Amino acid sequence: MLPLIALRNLARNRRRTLLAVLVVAAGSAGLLVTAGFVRYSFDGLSEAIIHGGLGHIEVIPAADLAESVLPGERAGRPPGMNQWADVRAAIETQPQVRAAGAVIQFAGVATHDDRTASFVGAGNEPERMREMDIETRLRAGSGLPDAPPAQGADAAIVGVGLARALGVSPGDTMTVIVSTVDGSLNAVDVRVTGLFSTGLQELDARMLQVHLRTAQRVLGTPLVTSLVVGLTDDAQAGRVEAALQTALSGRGQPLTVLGWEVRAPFYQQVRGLYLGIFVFLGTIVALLVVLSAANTLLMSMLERTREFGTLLAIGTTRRQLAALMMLEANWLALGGGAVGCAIAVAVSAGLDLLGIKMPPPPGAVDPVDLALMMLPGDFLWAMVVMAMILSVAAVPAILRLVRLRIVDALGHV
Amino acid sequence: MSDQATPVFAVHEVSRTYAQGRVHVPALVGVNLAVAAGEFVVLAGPSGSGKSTLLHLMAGLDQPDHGQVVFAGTDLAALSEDERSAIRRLKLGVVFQAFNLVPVLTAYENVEYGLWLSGAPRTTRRARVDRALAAVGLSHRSAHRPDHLSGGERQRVAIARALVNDPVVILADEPTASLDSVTGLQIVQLLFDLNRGLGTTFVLATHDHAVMARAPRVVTLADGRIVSDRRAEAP
Repeated sequence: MLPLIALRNLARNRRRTLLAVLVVAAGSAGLLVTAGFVRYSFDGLSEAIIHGGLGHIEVIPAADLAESVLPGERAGRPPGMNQWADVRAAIETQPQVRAAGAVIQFAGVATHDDRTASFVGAGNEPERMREMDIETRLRAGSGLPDAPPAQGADAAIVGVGLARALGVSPGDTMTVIVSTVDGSLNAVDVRVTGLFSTGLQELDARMLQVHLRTAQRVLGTPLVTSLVVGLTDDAQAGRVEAALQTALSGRGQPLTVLGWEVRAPFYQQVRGLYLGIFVFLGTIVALLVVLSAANTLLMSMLERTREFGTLLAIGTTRRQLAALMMLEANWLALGGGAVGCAIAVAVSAGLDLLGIKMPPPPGAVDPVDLALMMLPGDFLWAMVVMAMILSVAAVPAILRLVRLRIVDALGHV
Repeated sequence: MSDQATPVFAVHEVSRTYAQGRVHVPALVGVNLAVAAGEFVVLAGPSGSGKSTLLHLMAGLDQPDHGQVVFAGTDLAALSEDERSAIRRLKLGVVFQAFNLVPVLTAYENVEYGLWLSGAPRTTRRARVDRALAAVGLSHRSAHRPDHLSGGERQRVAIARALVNDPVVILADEPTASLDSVTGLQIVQLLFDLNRGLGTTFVLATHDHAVMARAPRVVTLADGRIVSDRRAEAP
C-alpha cells in the first residue's frame, strides 16, 4: 500500500513533481551521455592503438623488460629474440590468436638531398600485419610489398611529419643510416612507397617502417626485437596473455608477455584524464540533483506535516513513514531515470544522424567523431545511480519525519 | 454491555505543562480519571481546559510530566514508541475534529489503511472494511476520495477507520466541531449507537451541549483540572 500512497502523493503537486522528474532526467541523461562519449573515446582509442600497430600482445625477451615496456624506448637496443620462428609457431597454436608477426625496433638517421632527420623505425612483415588486422593508415602512395625485398630493392613507408622534415614523397629514395648490432655504422638506400600517419603528431614526425628483412639486413642480425600477436577478439586479450605466459615459460630464452595497455601509456593517460573529468562532472550533476530533489521532498514533507501526524496517531511507525518518503524519492528516480534514458538514446541517435566531428585531441592529427557508445547495462547503472542519489536527497525530509512530535504535527496548519 | 467495573484507562495524578517561549503553561494539573470498558465518557470544558491534552496522553501521542496513564494495565510511558504505535494500531481508534483523512486515498482505502498496517490479509481487510463502512452508512461512497465527500461523510469515514480494527477504545477529539448542527447530531447518534451496539468504549472531548446532555458520563475540565464528574442516572 505504501508504494501506491507514495505514487499518489507525487501526483498531488503535478508541476513540482514534473520539475523534479525533469531534473532527475537531465541528470541521468547527462551521466549517460558523458559515459557514452567517454566509452566511445576509449573504444576508438584502444582500437586505434591495437589495430594501428601495437597489436593485442607483445612477446619480448625477458632481459629487454628491464630496458622498457615501451616499444619505442627499446629501439636503441639490438634485437635479442632468437628462435623466434619456433616461438611464433607456439603462439599461433593458441586459440583466439589470429597471427603473430616479428618486429624489429631500431633507430637511426635518415637523409634525403641535404636534409637529415633522426627516426624511430619498425621492421615488420606486412602480410602478417594484415592477417592480424593491423593497418597502417596510408596518406599517400602504397604500403610495403609483402615479399621480402631483394638486396638493393629495399622500400620504406614514412610518417607524414618525418616525410615533411626530409622533403620526401612517394617514389623518392632516401638513405637510412643505422648502428649495426656490432656497433659499426651501416646505410641502405630505400625507396619511399608511401606516407602514413599514426594519428599522433609526435610519432608521425619520427616514424618509418621497412620490411623485417630490410631491418635485419641493415642491422646485421637474424634476430628480432619481439613478436606482436593479434587476436580474434579484443576482449580475450587478458586471458590469452595469461595462457601465453604459461605456454612460453621454460624456454631456453626467458620471454615476457605484455598486454597492449601496458605498452600504451598514452591510452592510460587519456583514460585517466577522461575518467577524472567524468567523475568531476558526475559529482556536480549528482550534487545538483540531490539539492533539487531534497528541496522538493522536504517541501512535500513540510506541507503534509499534519497528515504525517495523523498517520503516526493511527499507528504508523516512523520507519514506515521513512519508507514512504524513500519510496516517493525512488518513484522520482524511476520516472526521471526512465525519461533520462530516453533522452540519452535520442541524443545518441541525433549525433549519429548529424555526424558531428570534434577537433583533434591534443597531440592527435585526426578529428574525432562526436558519438556515444551506450551499453544496455549503462541504463540500469544510471537508474541505480539515480535511485542512490534520490535516496540521499530524501534524508533531510526523513530526518524531519523521525523527529516529528505527533502532537505538534497534528496542530500544524 | 461490558463490565463497568473493569478499568480500560486509569489516569493517575497526571500533569502536563507546555513551554510557550519562556512561559510554562500548565495544561493538566493532577488529573485522575478511570474509564471502564464499554463506557461512553464525554470530556467537557471550554477551549484550553485540557480536554485535547488529556486525549493525547490517553492515546500515547504525548507523555505526562508527572503521573501515569495506564491502558489495560500497562503504563504507556513504560512502553517504547513502537509499542505505543502498536497499541494505537490494534487497540485504540482515534477520531479528529478535522477528520484527518489521507487525501490521496479513497474512503475504502482510508479505512483499509489501519488493517494493512496490522498485516491483515486482503480477504480479511475487504470483509472488515465493508463491515465498517456499512456500520457508518457509507458503503455507497467507498470509492470516493475525501475531497468528493461532505464533512459528515468524511467524519463517518474517519469513524469507520477508527472502528475497523475492533478497538477497545475510541478516542474522539471534538468530532462534531467541524460539522453543522444536524450532521453533528447524526454523528453523535452514530457514536452512541456504536457504543451500545458494539460495546466499544468511547472517550469524546467536546464543548457541544447537545452531546453533553445525552452523554451517560460527563467529566468537566477547567484550567487543566477535573472540576466535575457527572454520571447520568441509569434508565
